[in-house]
Amino acid sequence: MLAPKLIEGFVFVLTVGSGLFVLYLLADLLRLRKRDRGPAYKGGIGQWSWAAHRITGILVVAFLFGHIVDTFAVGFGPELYNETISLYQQWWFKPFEVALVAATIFHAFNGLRIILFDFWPNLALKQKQFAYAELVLFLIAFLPAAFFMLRSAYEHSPFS
Amino acid sequence: MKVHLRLLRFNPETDGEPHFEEYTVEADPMDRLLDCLHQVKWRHDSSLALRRSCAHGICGSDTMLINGVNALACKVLVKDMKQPVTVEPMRGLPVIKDFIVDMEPFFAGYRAVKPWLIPDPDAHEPARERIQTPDERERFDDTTKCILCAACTTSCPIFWSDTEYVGPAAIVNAHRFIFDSRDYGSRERLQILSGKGGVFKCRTAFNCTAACPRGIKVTKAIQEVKRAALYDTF
Repeated sequence: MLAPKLIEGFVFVLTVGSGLFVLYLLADLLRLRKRDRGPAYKGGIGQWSWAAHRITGILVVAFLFGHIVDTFAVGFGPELYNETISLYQQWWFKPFEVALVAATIFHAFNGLRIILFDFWPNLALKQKQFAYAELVLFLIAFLPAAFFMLRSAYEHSPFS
Repeated sequence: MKVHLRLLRFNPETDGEPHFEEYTVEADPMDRLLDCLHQVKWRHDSSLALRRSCAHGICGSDTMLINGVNALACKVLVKDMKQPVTVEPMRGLPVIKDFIVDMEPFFAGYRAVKPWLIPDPDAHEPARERIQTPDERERFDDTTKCILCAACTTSCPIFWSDTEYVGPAAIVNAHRFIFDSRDYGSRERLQILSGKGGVFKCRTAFNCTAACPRGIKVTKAIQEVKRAALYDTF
């Protein structure tokens, strides 16, 4: 059947394409181009939060595209949909889901931090404290989720 | 003490691309990086090209990327620098030679925001001073300190990849007039800054605030201009 091959191909192109795009963004960010061979600009936590915000944003959007494509498979009947979605049930896929959770939580908290500065410019004077507080909140939200997800992945893996 | 320097040299007439050259000079711990660069230029290689005018942190000519951060070479002391000291030209502006960059894109952004006092169009020539209360003067005091050294603008990740963005320095200078009670051009400036390449290109990476040699709260000023543009309040 042509449809599963098409969908698989589409998901593959989206995944690899977005991965390459993220690599390009990283190279661009670190200014590793030929004419600029110096190391990355040693900005503070604000610069790295900005970079991480972009990268996580692109990752989440890339996943959403893939997710739309796999949901699209439901139009071809339950067999194809179940087959496509079974990818997410594989034990080795869980770490990618954990990465998705990390990207989403970071992007959400960082977005809220930026919005705070938009509403109250005076808070910008304490930007470092806000950035570190955000990282703490991120860890509080992310670590338990990662623990439970990876534990279930481990139980279903051949290593357990 | 000995100071090891790694300078990113570029001569457009002979070099295909920039390359690092190493020098060792003798300096006092309380000397500034500028003194070391002078030694290189005066005693080792007179072809080293750099800008500097007052050499006292006021003219803003000698901004360089020193050990990965923008700073004025005349304000960084030898004792505070990690060795070897890596010096590169500012990023985001075309390099002409060594540490001399083409400042035109920077000044184009500056001119775009009309950084001068626009008087009341209905008033005739003033017969006396334009009076202002201390509070009204205080409102924009921080942004009057700008020396146009481009340390903030060339530390901005957005500016590196998008020269259409006017940059933090231009917004700081717009802020200085937008919140000035004697000025009547604020709406015009906010119109310009609301457009493409304006204030909303700022993604609050805060590199500008850290880089400013005058300690201006650059990101805070930009956020205030954003709000002024959104709500038409100034």
